[in-house]
Amino acid sequence: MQEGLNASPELHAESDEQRSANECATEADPNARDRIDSLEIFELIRGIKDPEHPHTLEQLNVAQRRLIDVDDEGGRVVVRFTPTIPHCSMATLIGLCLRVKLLRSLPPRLKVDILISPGAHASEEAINKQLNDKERVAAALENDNLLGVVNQCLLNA
Amino acid sequence: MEPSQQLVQVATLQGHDEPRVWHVAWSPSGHTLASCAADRAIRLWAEDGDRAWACVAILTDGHQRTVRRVSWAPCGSLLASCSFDGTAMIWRCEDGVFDCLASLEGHDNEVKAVAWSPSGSFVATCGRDKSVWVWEAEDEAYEVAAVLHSHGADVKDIVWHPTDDVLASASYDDSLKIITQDGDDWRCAATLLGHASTVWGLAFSADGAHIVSCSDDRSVVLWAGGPADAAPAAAAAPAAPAPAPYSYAQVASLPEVHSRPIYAIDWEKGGARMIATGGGDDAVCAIEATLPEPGSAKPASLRLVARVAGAHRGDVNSVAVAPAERGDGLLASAGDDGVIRLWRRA
Repeated sequence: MQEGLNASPELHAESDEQRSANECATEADPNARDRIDSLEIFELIRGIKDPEHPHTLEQLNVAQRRLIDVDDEGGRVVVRFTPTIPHCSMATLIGLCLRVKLLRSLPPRLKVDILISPGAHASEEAINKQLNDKERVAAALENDNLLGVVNQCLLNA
Repeated sequence: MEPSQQLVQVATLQGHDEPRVWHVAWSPSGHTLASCAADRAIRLWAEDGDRAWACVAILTDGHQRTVRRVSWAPCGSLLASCSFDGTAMIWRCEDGVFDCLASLEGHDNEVKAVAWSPSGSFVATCGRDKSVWVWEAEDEAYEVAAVLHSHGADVKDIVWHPTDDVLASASYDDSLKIITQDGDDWRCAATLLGHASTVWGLAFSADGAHIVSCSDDRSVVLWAGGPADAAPAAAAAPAAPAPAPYSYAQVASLPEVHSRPIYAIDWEKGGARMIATGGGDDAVCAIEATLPEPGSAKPASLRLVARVAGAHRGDVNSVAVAPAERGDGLLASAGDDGVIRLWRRA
C-alpha cells in the first residue's frame, strides 16, 4: 500500500438532520434575511467526493456539521475537516475542494477559513497555512489539471 | 486610541472583467495609475480634461494567467509586469499603446512581484519557486545578473531601497531578507525575523533608513538600519567573518492592525509620510510612524491614525500612495471586488 493513502477507511452513516418546518418557511421567504448557519454550510460540503475513495466526505467523517462554525453577523465561516489518517497525502486536495465549493456557493461577504481538525494530521500547520494563502489558492485554480481533479470531486456535490 | 484622521473616497475606477484586482502602481509623475488583475489585463488610468478618472489604455493579451504586479521604470514610459504564467514582461507605454520590449523568462512558475530599481538599471523579480532574480537593463536588453535562493518558501514581495542598489524581500517563510550588490555578485546580507506568519508586503521609508512590513499575523513591523560601518569591527577581530554591510532590526510593531491578513503596505515618500495598509478584513488603514532624531533615546513608534472599515466589498490586495510629484498624497486601493478606489486625507 502506498504510504499516505488509506486503503480501507471506516464508513459512517449519513446524517438525517433536517430543518424544522418553521426554519424551512423562513428559508423560503424571499423577504427574510437568509442567515447562513452551519447546517447550510454542511449541506454544501457533505456530498463532496473523497479524491481517493468512491465515498463522500460525510460518509468518511472527514466533514461533520459539529466542525463548522458560522458567525453570520461577523461574516466569518470556519470549516474544520478530519483526514481519515494522520499522514493522508490527499489532505491539501480535500481542503482545496472545500475552499472551491464554498468560494463558488457563498456570498463574498463571508470570509472562509479552512482548517484541519486540531491534531488530525502530521502536517497540520503547513496544510492550514497553504489552504488559507489566497495567492497560492488562486494560482492553483489556474492550473487546469488540478482544477480538473477538484471539479471531479465536486461533481454532483 | 481612536483613529484621528479620515480617508474620504474621491473616485471609483471600474473596468477589470473579473472580480479581483491584484495590484495598483502610480507612475513616477503620479499622473497615471496602472492596475493588473485576475482577468490577465493591465489597465492604465488617468484624469481627463474634467478631472474625472478614466481608463486610458488596456492590455489584454500580454500574459496567459493572472497579472500579479506591475512596476513603473523611473523614466515613466516603461512598465514591468509579472504573472502567474511564470514570466515578467517589459512594456513601452505611449499614447495608450503597449509595445512589448522583453519577456523575462527563468522562474519555474508564478512570478509574484516585480520591481524596477530607482536607478533604472535593474529589475528584480521573485516568485513561488523561492527565488529572487536580478535583471540588468541595458539598451532595452535584460540580462540575468543574479539568481538568489535565500528564502525557504515563496517570495511574496520585493522592493528596492530608494537610493541604493539594495533589495528587501518578503516571504511565506515568515522572514524578510536584505539583498545587496557585492561587486558583480548579489548576496543576502541579512535575514529579518519578527513576524509570526507569511510576510505579504514591505516598503522603505523615503530615506531608506526604515522598512515597514505587513503580515498574515495581522501586525505591522517597523525596522531600522542601513549600511553597517564595517571598519571598526574588522579592525577589532580580523579573523571574524565580515559583518553584514546592510542590516535592519525591529524597532517597533503594531499588532492587530487588521482582523484578517494584511496583504498590502505602502509608505508615502513625500508629504506627511503616511503608511497605508490594506487587509483581508476589507479595511484600509493609515499609520503614522514617529522616528527618533539621530542620537535621541526616544524609541520609534507606530500609531494608527485612520481606518476605513468596508473600504472594499472584499479583501484589499493593494494600496499605493501617490508620489510626492503629484502633490496631493492621493491613496489608491484595489480589491477582490474588482474595483480601484482613490482616497484623500481629511
